[in-house]
Amino acid sequence: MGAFIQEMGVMRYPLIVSAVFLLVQIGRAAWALKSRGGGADPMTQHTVLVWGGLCALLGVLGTVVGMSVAATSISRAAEVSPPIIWGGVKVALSTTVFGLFWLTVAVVAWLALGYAQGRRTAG
Amino acid sequence: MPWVETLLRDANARLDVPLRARSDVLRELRGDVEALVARLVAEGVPPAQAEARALDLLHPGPEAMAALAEIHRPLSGRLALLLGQRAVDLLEGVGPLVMAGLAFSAPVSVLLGSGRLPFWAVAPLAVLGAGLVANPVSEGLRWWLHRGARAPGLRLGVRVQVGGVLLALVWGGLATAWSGYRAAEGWAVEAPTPWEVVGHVAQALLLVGLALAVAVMGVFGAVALAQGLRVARGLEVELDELLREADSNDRR
Repeated sequence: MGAFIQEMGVMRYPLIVSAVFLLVQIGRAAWALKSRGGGADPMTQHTVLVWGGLCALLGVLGTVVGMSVAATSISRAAEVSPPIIWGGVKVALSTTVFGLFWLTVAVVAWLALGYAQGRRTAG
Repeated sequence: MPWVETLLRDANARLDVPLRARSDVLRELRGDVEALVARLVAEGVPPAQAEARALDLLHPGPEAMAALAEIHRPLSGRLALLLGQRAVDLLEGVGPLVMAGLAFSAPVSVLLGSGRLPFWAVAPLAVLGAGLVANPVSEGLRWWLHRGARAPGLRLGVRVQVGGVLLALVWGGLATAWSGYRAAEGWAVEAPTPWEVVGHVAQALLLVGLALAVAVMGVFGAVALAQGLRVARGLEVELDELLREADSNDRR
């Protein structure tokens, strides 16, 4: 896990910060739902999706930046072998995997929070 | 005629009929009362006395309410009564999920049997797809059995459907990115043959296509649910207007 995070390079900092904000927002929305029942502010729940989306966008941005850096390095290298290229692709993809993972968490949390609130409102 | 409106509010609180029939019953009741008062006034009865007599004659008691509910209960509602609440709950909740699961198991087993797609990527998409089919079918069944559904329940259905569509798309993307990452990890150690790369691209396209197919199916369900929600909201607004009209007449 540590090696995976190290692989993401400089993009790991904004990605980790966004993931932490996402978890805090999920906690806030769950707390609001528990303490205020069906009257919880829906915007608090929708913000969970916004943070998840930000994680995914940063992840894709990390991949684009990673590909660009890899392409620059390859163009300057004297000799290029396929394993070097695939190694660059792997490193570049790690940010997308990380970002999409947190977007998946955000969507599941958004769905669960909405379902819990909807059940209270409907029932 | 404020007492007519009081009568309507009272009848609305005690009526056990679907939303669509509820408006009809209240309108019928209002028409009957107004017609009777008009007839009595035409016969020379003073308006105040005519209203009081009409109220006495037409105020529905518990038996009349039960009879009204029986008359306006649709055939599907009678079937639901015959089946019993437990069976209806089971039919509405678990039935569509089991049927959709069975329907999905055939194409999914073919996809998995081909060996092209990993189980961990396809299984959640199959479960999501079954859920996205079962959700609108379950709401549709509820609508058919009870001749209407409440707007909050349908709103929840729409949100679940939208969340499911989003999840299908995100899962498709994550599964594709992860399998690409794992493949690149292996290829960084040992260079792949061109056919290995082509095979992997085909696998990624299949995964994305499957996720898109599940999402599109979910979008159709969401559109159907949104349409149901629109109709339910219309019926609730109609009933609200009928009762709000009662309020304004009361104040006059």
